[in-house]
Amino acid sequence: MIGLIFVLLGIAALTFTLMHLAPGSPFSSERLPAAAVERINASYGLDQPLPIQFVKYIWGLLHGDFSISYKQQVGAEVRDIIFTGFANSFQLGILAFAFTIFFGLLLGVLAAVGQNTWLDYSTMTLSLAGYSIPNFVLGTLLLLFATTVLNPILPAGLQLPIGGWLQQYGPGAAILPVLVLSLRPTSVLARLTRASMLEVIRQDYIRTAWSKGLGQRVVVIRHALRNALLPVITVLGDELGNLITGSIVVEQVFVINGLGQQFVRSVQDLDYNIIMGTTIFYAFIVVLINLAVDILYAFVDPRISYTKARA
Amino acid sequence: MAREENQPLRDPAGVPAHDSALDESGVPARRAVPVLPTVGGDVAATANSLWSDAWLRLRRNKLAVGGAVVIVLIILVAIFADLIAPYDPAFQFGVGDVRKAGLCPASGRCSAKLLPVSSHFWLGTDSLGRDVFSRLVHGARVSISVGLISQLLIILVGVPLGLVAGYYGRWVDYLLMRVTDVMYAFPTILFAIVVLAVFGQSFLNILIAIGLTFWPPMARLVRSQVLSVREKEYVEAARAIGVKDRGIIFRHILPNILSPVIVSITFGIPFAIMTEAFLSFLGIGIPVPQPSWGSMVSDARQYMRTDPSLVIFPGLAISLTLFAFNFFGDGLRDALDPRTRK
Repeated sequence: MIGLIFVLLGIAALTFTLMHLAPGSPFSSERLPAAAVERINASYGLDQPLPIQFVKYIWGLLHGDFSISYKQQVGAEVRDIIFTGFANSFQLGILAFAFTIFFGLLLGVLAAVGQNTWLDYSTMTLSLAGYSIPNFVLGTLLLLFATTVLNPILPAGLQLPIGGWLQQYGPGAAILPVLVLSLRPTSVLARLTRASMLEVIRQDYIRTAWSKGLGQRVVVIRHALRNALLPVITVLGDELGNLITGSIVVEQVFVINGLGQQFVRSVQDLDYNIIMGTTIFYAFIVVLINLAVDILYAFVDPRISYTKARA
Repeated sequence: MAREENQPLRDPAGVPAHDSALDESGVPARRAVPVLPTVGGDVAATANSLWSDAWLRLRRNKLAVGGAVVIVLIILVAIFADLIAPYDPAFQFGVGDVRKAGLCPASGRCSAKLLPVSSHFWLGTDSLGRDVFSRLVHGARVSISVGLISQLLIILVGVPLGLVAGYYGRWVDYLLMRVTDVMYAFPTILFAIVVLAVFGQSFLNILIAIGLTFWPPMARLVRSQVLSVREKEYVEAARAIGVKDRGIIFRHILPNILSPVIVSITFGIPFAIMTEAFLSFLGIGIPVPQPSWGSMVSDARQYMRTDPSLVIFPGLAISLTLFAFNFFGDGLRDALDPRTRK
């Protein structure tokens, strides 16, 4: 736990340092007289020495105070801004994660079971291709396809919304963004699951299971897949973090008002508190996911115990 | 004294000591083979066979060979961009130029913007009247240099730090691990965005942003490899005959951890290329008049319905480049890691 706090503090300090290294201040771009900028800085406490500002910020953070926005929505609580934006990013990330788990595992298992068949080759080649197409290219091309080809031939009620998110446009709005966001992690997961399954399938206990006369489904799912899951879980943890925190481009392409978009804007505006708040918040999520992965290990593999000292 | 007497015994044919080490790490299955009694010539033969073996396996992988061919082509385009591109990629053609070329319709308005494919503009012009083909060609130069130079930076920082941390341990190791812990929890793209915001948009700063973001995984990879190799018998033997730390690190450890590092670099190149395109797409990457595939896609989105080719060409260019590197990297990993041979 102390490690986690250290990590979060480190990230806060790193972001804080970088942010204040950036030329200018939040108000230097507003063409105000120097005296006015000074007064504004003083009223926000930005005239104090940086270490004191940092300590004050962290102290506030420990009390749940994310401070206020200086530029984006002047005076608004950063906590509210983060939660509003994050709600959309989180829905998008979770949906993409569910898609990733389902199709990644399915394709990986199928490829492993049919090793060296056309199914295996096509899955592996496609997944490498899926891994290679950048989000923004695929998203843009799919949008193009939806507007010019798909929507004109679909009946009026079934047309895909172009941009926007669930609240305004209903579940249809999720199809393309989720597809685009999950393609890369799905490819990663499929390849990894296949590799892990291939190792497990060669084990003696799988041969035993076969020779006991168990059905294919039982052997593949209960005996092989469960044992192949350990390396998969590590990667799944990383991917969940990426999906939740890395949807910036998909948000941009599909005009979803998420936290990623908000972050890019506030970096350009040097809205200090949003930058700090978002990075710390995201880092906190990543750290939490890593913790969850560690705990999940113990469930999947009972041999792992955290009470003993780790090597 | 004892060391000099031992030298001919271990090394009758003048085979450098690290070759025998190479043999051992590359082919773990052969670890049981006793190293000492082998004749020098044999050691050399098996040592070469790791790399030549890998080369053979790589050549048999059609996708990887295809990837390599495409990579070479793209690199050639990047090097000779000035010769290949018919125009300056940043030059905005005006109505006058187009009229002179006879591209104006007999009636109606004439414009140099968003022109279709023609013999003058092989892929048409963009919304500012710039030649798309020239921009694509120069975009290759940007992408390839970002990919290669950023990996060079990552090697220069990550490999020495990983070696020192893995070999000496103690505070260097502790410090490195804490730094990488922090960087691991920092969502990568957010970090790159903040770094670019701080240093401003430029080609060099993109390299810095990518380098700063991706050196920790490299350092960690090298460190973990060093840890697994450090306790091997051949390192112990080298230490026992009095080889200094530097010799052990560079002649015994480094050659043995090369293949995962090479694989990591091969996948790092497309990742860096993608990161640059991604940042340029967001409008915070390569500064404007310079062409980048990412910003080309981003600029073209507005005109997507009427001029889809403006999105499709740069999109294809970047996807093709990434395909090529990933297919090659995949083949290379299989070739270098005999354990995946099945």
